[in-house]
Amino acid sequence: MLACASMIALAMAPVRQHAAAIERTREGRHAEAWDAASAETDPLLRAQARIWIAWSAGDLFGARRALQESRRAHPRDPLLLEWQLQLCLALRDAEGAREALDALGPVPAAELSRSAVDELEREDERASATAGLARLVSLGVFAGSLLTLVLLVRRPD
Amino acid sequence: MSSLRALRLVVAAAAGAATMAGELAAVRLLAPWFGASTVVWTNVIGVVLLALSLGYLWGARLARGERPRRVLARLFLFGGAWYAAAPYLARACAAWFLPEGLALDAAEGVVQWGSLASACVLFLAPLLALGAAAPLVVEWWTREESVHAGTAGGIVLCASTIGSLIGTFGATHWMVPSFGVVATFAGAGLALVACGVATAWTEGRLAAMLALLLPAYALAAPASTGPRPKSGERVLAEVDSTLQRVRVVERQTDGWRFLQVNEAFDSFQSAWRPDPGLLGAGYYYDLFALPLLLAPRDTRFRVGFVGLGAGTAWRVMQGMRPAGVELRGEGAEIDPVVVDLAHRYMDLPTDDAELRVHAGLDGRVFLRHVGGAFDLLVVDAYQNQVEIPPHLATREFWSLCRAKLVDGGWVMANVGSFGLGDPLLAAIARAMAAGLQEEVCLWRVPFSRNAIIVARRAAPVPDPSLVSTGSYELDGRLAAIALPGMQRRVRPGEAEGDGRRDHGVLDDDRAPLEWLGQESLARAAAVLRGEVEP
Repeated sequence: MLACASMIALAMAPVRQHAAAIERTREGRHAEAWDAASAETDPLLRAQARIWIAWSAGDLFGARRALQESRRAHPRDPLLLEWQLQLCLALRDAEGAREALDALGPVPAAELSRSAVDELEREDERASATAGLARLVSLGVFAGSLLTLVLLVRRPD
Repeated sequence: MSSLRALRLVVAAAAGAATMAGELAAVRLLAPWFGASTVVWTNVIGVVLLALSLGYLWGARLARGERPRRVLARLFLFGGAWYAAAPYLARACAAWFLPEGLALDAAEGVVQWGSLASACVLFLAPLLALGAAAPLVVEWWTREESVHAGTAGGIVLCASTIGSLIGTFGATHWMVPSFGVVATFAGAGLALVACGVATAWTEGRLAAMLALLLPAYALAAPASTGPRPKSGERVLAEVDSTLQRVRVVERQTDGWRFLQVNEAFDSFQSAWRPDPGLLGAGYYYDLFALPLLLAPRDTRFRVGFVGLGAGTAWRVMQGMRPAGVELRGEGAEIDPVVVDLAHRYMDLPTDDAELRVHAGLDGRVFLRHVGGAFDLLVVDAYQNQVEIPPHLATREFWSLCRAKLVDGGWVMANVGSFGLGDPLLAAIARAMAAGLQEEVCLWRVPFSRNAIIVARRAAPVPDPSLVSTGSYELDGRLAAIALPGMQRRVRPGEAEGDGRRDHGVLDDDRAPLEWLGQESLARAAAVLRGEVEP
């Protein structure tokens, strides 16, 4: 009986720590939530709890880092993919968002964000194109001017 | 002196004046999009020098022609017409080289190359014409007066340089602050056109020249040249101060107002909400209320502001002031126009009863001369959108801060940064620790790209997770700061620990904040890509 109870408690323990971490985050007790998440034995649940805590606390970079680490071990986990999508949109990382969107496939959560990802990619392309144009114009003007200078110096008449 | 000789002197001086006025106003013209950072100044100066050197050689070639005076008149008319049109071309030009709504952290490459390309397109041609003027005036003088080329050159250079002097002082201290950037360009353009017409008159070609002018000046109508406000915002006021372009915009959904300085990115310098108090998640100003909330009751709490802006931090504190604490403030804001707009649109007190404002005063000068000691010093000083003034980040400055604090007093500094590993943040923290001779704490502001550096004189900074301020909202944010990756401590004498280039401790002799700012932006891109730890 005791052994059975212990086994049940052991099986439930990871869930309790993960749930405790989420609950403490909701209460704004982030440090305690982090401790609870660290005590979680299931790596996926631990990672999910840490991402959730960091995100809720406003540490988007921290959440991103925890997400990257956990995705290496669980590349197809749909919850992680959905979080990556939303986090990358918040951080304006079009590449990461597109990767998550493609990996998620045609699920409703992904479809809702598709237009946002498309828009972010368009903005990135526009920024890249204008920076390229500016570089081209600047270098062209300077190169042309220097060439003219050399010609004028060499052939003053 | 003959009238022709006087005309030649005036023409040479006008070329010099227009060159310098154009150079100074060019930075102001580009600033609403690209800022007025050292990078932008360097790009504008580089284009001016390139144009002048080309112009000198071109002018030397033109001077060999039969009628240098006629060529000179045409160059002045061309340069003047272009100057007058430049403010109207600027918006279109900026739209080519700067996408609207670009986030600040994605701006590095665009600012650098966009400002250079814009300067090339807008200013290379007219300055080339002005550069070509000098050899032509020398030639004119030599032919008319039958003097040595060296004599004529010396006189023309002298007149041109005196003109440059007038253009420099006139643009910065009179034209731009009194009439704005558009009028400065129009004024310089008109002066050049007048010189061109006068020169043409001596050639008897006035009618043709006047006809050339008409299309250019048909454009001259007052207009705003800055970027448009975002959708859902309206501009309440827009002013060119001696230092920068300043505007107040109002968000129509909730009535919040933002003071923007040269802003083309998604940022602002001060925020105002209808009710005083905390601004909410993502606003670093709220953390400045912490020392006030921890102050003993029945005391007077004195706070000093280095970089008051429109008084956002003061307004947060006013709303959070605990009963029994008498709040007094004194602060410096270097731009009087910012203070004036804050009085009119952002409820900055106009009397000295609670908050004494020193408008037009540099933060360090203020701190050196202000009497008494403070319970809290808030350092939130920026220039050119994103640059912290070097003299407000050095060991000597922080040492001065220490001298102005009571025992147990706090100093809190806002630094825009991308994580605790940001090189700019780390360098300022080390200078602060060295100057204060105290351990300093770096707190990342939740949901923000800002960090607050916190220290106390002769007292430890409390663990944010253990602090209870009585404000549920603020306690929640402090609890978030207690997370790993959200805070870090730096002790005096601590070296840069992660193998990055070590710039030493920032001091008055050497504080390479421009480099650190560039490193910070470059690193931000890597952080956003997840390549390095924040």
